[in-house]
Amino acid sequence: MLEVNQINVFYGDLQALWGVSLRVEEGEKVVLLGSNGAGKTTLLKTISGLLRPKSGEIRFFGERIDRLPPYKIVEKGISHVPEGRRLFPDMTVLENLMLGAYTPEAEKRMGDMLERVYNMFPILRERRNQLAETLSGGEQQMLAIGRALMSNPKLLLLDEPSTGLGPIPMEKVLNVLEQINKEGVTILLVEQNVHYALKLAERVYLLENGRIVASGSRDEIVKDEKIKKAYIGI
Amino acid sequence: MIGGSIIIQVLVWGIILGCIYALAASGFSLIFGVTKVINLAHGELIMIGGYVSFWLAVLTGLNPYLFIPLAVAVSSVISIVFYSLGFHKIMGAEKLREAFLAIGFTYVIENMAVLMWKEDTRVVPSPYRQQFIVVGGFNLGVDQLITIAGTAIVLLAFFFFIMKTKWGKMARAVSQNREAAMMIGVNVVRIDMLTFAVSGAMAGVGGALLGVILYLNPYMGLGLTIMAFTIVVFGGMGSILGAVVGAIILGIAQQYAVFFLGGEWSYAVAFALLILILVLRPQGLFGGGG
Ligand SMILES: Nc1ncnc2c1ncn2[C@@H]1O[C@H](COP(=O)(O)OP(=O)(O)OP(=O)(O)O)[C@@H](O)[C@H]1O
Ligand SMILES: [Mg+2]
Repeated sequence: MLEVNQINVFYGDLQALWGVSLRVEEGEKVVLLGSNGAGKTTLLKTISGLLRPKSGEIRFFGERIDRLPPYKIVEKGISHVPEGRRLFPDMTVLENLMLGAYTPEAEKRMGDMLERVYNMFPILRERRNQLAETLSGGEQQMLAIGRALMSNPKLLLLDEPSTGLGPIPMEKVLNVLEQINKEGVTILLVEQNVHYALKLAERVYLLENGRIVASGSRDEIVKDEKIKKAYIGI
Repeated sequence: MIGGSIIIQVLVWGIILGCIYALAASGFSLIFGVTKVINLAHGELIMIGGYVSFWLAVLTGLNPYLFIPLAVAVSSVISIVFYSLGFHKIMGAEKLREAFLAIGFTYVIENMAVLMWKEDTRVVPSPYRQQFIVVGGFNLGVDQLITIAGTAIVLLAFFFFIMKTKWGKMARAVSQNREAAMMIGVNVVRIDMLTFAVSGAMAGVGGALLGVILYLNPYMGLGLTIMAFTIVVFGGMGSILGAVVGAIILGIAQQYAVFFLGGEWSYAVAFALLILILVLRPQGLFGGGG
């Protein structure tokens, strides 16, 4: 479904990703693990078109997307839940959700999508006329995910949803991601928290200093010495 | 003794000047809020709007208010050109480049106006020039009434557009978080262009109204830009309501300054108020947070 081939990404002269390759198959739950500054956010932003790779290519269902503007990539079916949620603070919950569905295809099905998101997060229905900035951290994360789902994506990218969330709201988020995945949405989750990552992941990539240093199924990764040392702390 | 009615008369002039300022400043503020561009060529669109209505009214001998839609169209198209050929190409680069680009546009438009309409001062010929309505003991010119009503209608339509329509909401989303808007599929280039178009349209209305109640001159644009910028800082960067309220306050203050102190005090008083608010409330009248 998604193929990232040998991309090199720069901020000015500073190279942030070095020959990164990654694949995600339809229906999978893939987690990208990496510590602070590894380049996780950079990779997600490159997939969703906010950054351009200097070389390499990105394909979605076989079609190159690395030269498309971000809105075209959303139209193709990739939705991005940004790091730190990035809601529109001065707009209501409902307005934030509707903004996620202003792509031509999604707009036709806005009512259905809204119903789906409200059923997933009943609290958002209750809070629909409240300003986004007045929500609690957990509610804001739900709204960020809900907003991303409004475009009816095939692939959902999530950038560290656990940031600032306690264990209970984060469990809820993980449950919702399982549910979304069962409904057919492929998931690529970026995390630093190994505990959460391994709960969800079917496959894992490990990113360090802008390079993929390990990858494999969840079980392979759990046994990997490098990962044990660096992340699991055994 | 200065009578109470003359005080009220000056207040009305202030409100009318404030209306023109509000049309200028809300567009200036919209562009800044959505694109972060400080469009120092914005005042030229007002000047052009005024001349379009002047020119067509003189040419055809018809009522100049009929040509407001054309003034709107021309100013709006020029504003889109500013964006597409200019600001779009350098957005995100340092602000100095935007400033020089805007100064370049200012000279081009000014020179075009001089070529087409000469340097003379012009007034748009209105059929209502000598007509007054007496309200509560003082005279209100029909043209002044039209300016106030026209401004109110345009601003209400503008607020409706920004707050209630899908495109307005997308523009607000871009202004609140451009990157997040991109991530959820907003075509930001199109929104930026729309923002310039809407701002240009309001400037066009402002120019057409201004040409009747004040006068036109090819070099007037820069002064209007400076006032729009001042008002936006005064009212709070990014706040449209701040721009409207600030416009009315500064319009009134300027007219009182002109009446009591003389014409040379007009800008001095506006800037004194700006400095005052920056000292007391650095974020401006309606500016949020820091
Ligand atoms: N806008 C930018 N300009 C310059 N360098 C940047 C920029 N954004 C990120 N970087 C650098 O690129 C590298 C990768 O950053 P990135 O944000 O992708 O890391 P991350 O894995 O998401 O980290 P975190 O877990 O802290 O979010 C870092 O060294 C960072 O300093
Ligand atoms: Mg990050």
